[in-house]
Amino acid sequence: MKCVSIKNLSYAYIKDRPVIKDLSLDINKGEYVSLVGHNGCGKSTLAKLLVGLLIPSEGTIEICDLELNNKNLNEIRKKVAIVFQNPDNQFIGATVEDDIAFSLENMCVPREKMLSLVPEYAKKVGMEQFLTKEPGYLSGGQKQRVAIADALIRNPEILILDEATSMLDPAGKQDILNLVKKMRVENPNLTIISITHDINEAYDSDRIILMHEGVNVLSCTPSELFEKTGIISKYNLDLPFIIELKTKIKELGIDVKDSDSYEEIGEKLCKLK
Amino acid sequence: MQIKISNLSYTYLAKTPNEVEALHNVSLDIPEGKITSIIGHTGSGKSTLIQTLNGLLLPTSGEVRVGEYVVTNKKKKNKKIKELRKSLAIVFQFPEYQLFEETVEKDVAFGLKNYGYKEVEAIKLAHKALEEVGIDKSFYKRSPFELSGGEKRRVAIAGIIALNPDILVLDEPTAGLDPKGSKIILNLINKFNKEGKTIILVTHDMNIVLNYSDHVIVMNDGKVAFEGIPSDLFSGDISTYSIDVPELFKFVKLLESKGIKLDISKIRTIDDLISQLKEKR
Amino acid sequence: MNNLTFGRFSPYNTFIHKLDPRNKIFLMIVLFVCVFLKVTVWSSILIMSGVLFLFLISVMLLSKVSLLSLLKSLGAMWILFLFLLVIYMFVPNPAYDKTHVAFTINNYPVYYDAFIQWGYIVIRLVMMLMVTMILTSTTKPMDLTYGLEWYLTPLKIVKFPAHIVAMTLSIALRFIPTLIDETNRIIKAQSSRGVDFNHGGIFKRFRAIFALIIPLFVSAITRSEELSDAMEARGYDPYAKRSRYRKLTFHLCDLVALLTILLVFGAILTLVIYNNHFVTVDIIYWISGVKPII
Repeated sequence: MKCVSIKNLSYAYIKDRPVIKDLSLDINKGEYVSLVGHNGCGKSTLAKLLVGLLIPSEGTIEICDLELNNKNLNEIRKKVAIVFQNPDNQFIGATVEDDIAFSLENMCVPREKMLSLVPEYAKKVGMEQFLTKEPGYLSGGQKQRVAIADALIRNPEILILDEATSMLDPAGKQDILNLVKKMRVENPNLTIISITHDINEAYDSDRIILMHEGVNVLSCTPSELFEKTGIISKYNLDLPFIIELKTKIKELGIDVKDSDSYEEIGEKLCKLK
Repeated sequence: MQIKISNLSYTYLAKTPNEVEALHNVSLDIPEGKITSIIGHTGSGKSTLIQTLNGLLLPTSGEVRVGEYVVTNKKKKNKKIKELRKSLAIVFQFPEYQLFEETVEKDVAFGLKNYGYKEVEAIKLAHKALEEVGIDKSFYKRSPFELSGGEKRRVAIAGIIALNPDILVLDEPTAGLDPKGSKIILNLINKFNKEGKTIILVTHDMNIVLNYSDHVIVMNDGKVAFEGIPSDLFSGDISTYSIDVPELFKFVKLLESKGIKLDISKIRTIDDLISQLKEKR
Repeated sequence: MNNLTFGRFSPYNTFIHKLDPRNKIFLMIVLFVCVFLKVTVWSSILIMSGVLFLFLISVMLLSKVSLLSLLKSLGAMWILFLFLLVIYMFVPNPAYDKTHVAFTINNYPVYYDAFIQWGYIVIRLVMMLMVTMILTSTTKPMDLTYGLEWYLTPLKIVKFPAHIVAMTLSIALRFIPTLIDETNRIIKAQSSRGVDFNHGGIFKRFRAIFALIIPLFVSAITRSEELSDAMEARGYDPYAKRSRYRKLTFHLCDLVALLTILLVFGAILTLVIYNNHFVTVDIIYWISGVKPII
């Protein structure tokens, strides 16, 4: 079932210099898609278009069979949640609980309901002990967890992560990735669109969409992408370590194609000795 | 120039109920002419440590010696701090946020003018620095705010390099850049080192530590937890410092446990490993 | 920047801390009125100031506001007090009792009245400071905003955007610590480029300030853009109806505080109304011959 359907989308901040050029793309319900590509390739612009922060210059976006336009905007914003890059600049409330409640307030949810929902979702992201804390006392990773709690509390169909881990330290990053994994298990119907530079992060997704200069150059599963060495070097992509290792070991004349862990690869290397 | 840190301690908000000891009795020698990485989790004291190196923070006790300069808690002794900051320059995290002049060349020349260079000479040196970081001539007269993230960062680095410091300290130089942008910055750092500058990197990226640095210092709870070469660090047990082992070393360790003998000190990249494996066959 | 202790919220949980911010704002205004009520008889002035002062000191003790920080902020205000003293001494006031000259400077007479008037204004300023300090040290800035919003709500009838003002204010408060951090970071970064923020001539310092202000502005603008995106994406519409997570409640303790302060207010009001009838013989006037002029 289609969840996002983009047809011939174009967008330009400055006239005649489009950032997105005639892009068409479908994303299915429950799919976990990674959008990769260099800075300036139009990924973040696409994210902003999907949540209606920008209005397409040309083309259409349909979200859950609803066309994104000014009339449907409020309806669509209830279905799409986004977590941005900078943890500080999306923390609106004075404390963790106020911030988690912010979306609910906007949706006019009655207070009694908020009082039960806020702690529940704080718990989901492991922030239940920090409800009354102010952002100054939280780490970047914790602030992003709060942002995710606020995103989930609206019960969206689609969650967009716009480089949500790129400003975090390794511990914070791992934290968020684990949380995303947990979310997928708990709610398999949630569509996740993750914009990322980290190829190891993209490795876990169902599908990778490679963008370059405003168009989607490629859309395939991670393992399919990593076999296309031409594309990898053309677009200067990194490879996950294990893939790089397998390619290099193949050059030694050892077949490790079906080995998916260090253990298996190690075994094969030993056997040859 | 040599850096010698002896018995350095630093306490934030000293003598208040909120005081935090960020550095505790740290003694270190940072080798000249090499790339040294300082690692450790957030709050381990690494940022505090680099800020004491050029007197942005004055030690609570102990001292830092950089060549002939000394940084201590005695104000009188710290007169030459401005000169020290020229010899030991720090590029902070997200340095593009410190750009402010109306053109790229003026921004790079700004530091030079603070050190008394005349306009013409400062601009000339700025051009040289911009050339070094690979910024095209057509950008010189443009506003720094028109550039892309990676370019801005290179301009900011040029502003520091123009001062011609002997020691260059960089705090998370690749944070927030895409793989291509990161590679450009790292190659630059390598180049500066080849030209004879001592480099100190603060980073969370263990692959940078492994691939680029000669020497590594691990900070943990305000103390030095490890000092030595990267391969020694990663082949040992480092679970207590909450540092990630690079994937390469996870694999190397596995091979060792399976009885494959490798010369670990020479392994920095996959290619190093592969060539050692090749020799075995 | 770091020794800015005046009126910072101190996280205790006293009786005063628990009061409804709306109530606290109201009571603050009542106390301000008390401080500046006009009495013209010396004994009334003394009684009134004494009662108020003791009352405020006890409230301060009750709310665990440190007297030391009061003294510190008074210390920081010495220039203001000195300035006032000079004004009272040298600006001619027809109401001064011209018969009591303290001394003359270059044949310019300085009257005793000037000092007395100065003392009176200083006491009132100190008391005002105390009231403000009690309010801000026992109320989170955010709660103050909620309280303020409640007072502004009736203005919605005349299309005054009370909740927008409150939202703006709360976001400003939320970002103060972030911007202070940012400032410190830029200072350090520019110091590493040889900027000296503490020494040098005016021109040099002016340049130094530029190197701080421009990056700070650029980053503040970026932040505000990102913030407005985040707010919009999370469904915020300033003109739409919103529900509220925070609810202010008027407790029993609020009633107690309200009654206490109204009692004080009533007492002082009585004093003011019966000012001249009440106390027929003004002791101080009788002894010193100085008549208060307010």
